[in-house]
Amino acid sequence: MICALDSASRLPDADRREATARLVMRLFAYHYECNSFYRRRCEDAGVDPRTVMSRGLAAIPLLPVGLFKQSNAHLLLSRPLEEVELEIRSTGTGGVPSVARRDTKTTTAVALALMAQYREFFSISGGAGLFLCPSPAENPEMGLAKVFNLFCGLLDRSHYALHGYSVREDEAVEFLVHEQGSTVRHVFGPPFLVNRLLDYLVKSGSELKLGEGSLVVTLGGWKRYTGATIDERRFREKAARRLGIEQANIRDMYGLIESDMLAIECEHHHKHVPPWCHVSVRDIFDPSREVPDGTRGVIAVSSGLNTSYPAFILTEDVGVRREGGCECGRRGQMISFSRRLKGAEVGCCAVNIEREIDTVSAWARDVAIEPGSPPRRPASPAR
Amino acid sequence: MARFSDEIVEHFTHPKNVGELPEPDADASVVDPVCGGQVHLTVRMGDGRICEARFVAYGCAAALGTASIVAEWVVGMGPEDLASLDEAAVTQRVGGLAPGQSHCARLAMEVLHALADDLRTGKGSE
Repeated sequence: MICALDSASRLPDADRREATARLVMRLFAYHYECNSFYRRRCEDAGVDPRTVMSRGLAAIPLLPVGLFKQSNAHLLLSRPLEEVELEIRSTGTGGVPSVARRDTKTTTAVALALMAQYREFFSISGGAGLFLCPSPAENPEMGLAKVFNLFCGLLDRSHYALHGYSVREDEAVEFLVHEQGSTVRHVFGPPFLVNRLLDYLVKSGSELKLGEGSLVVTLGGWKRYTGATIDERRFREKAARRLGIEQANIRDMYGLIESDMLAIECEHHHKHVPPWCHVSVRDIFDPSREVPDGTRGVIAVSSGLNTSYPAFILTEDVGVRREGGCECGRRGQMISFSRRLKGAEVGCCAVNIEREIDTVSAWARDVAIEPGSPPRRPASPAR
Repeated sequence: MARFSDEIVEHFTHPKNVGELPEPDADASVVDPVCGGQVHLTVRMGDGRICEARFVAYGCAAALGTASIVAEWVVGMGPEDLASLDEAAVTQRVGGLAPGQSHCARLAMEVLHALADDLRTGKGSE
């Protein structure tokens, strides 16, 4: 399915549903067997593999995403720690990291899946990439950095314009200008950082002409740590004008590190759920109840790739699912994110990056650091 | 080298001394702002030495395992013993850390030094 994503994304609905259900049900039975913590939760809910076979994927007990923040997270693992190859984290405004631990098999599957999606949605096989996010060299466990960095393998040249949580807009523009005429140029980063580059261009009265084939790819959410929201439509208009790029090539992605799902926007700005995942939208007040397509509710994601832990996740995000055909030719589930659940922290890597950038900027101002030399972050505080 | 030492695997999978002591004689918390790892230690003293310790930790598996090992290790130590421990001592005690896990030794050392400060001055975790 991963290697044939183009055809899997165009299967008739009944065939695709059946293929996805087979993957997810097989993994449900596996985690039910291998994970005593999860099996107890299933038993408490009166659910076993036979129940899921007869009642469908909506019967699968979900793990609230907050469990990945708890200090007894070892309970979530279906494999021994020795088999865990990759730990990826996300930290929101609360400060406690959420950590997803993937074994070798899952790491391989997810890496291949992301590459397949990047090829399917962006057709990137070269060019230059400007990354407005921390590099994995600085933050090797940060989910957002890892997901963006996978693009580097498809590009010919990459440049990170964020150093030690200090943004270098001048350096970013210089890179894009330097690559002009030599290759296609792309921009990757969370919306607030791309928006910051756009504001820099507005202030300096500059407009770039990235041109045909160039992409702006965002991930990390539209809510800022201050609580303000970046308007997606206005962002696209501004980016199209300032970067000289078609709006169809300005694409957002939605995912969370605990799930194996990255929903990528097509040129019509619909976020497509990959066929190895199943999205179910739940009643906000009773998450055991699935709501119909087109109704707003809490997003739940079930993975058909994960052998490390039961990746049947009840998120803290509110959104809408719809299923069927898209103008781009793909069929399947599509989701749109609306907001965080009331009471949930404004949480993701991007929010934390923005807060860190503001902390470092304030600190640099306080110590009157020389312009042009990126400040080193203050030492780890003991509290 | 294996990704996790036997000691880390054991303590991550079966953490010991988890929680917080009520009305501890000293406590310390540290946060690594980059990796997000957090460790909180509470201890009770008897005859100038730690006789009981509890920990709460968040972060990667190596950080959680190291915190559990540290909470067991510090029993019997006094403030001067804690202050003398460095990253190398922590790394050795946990059975080695892979290159990407060295921040766990630093986190542990910082919480031990903060605990020593708290024991000596009562201000280690302020």
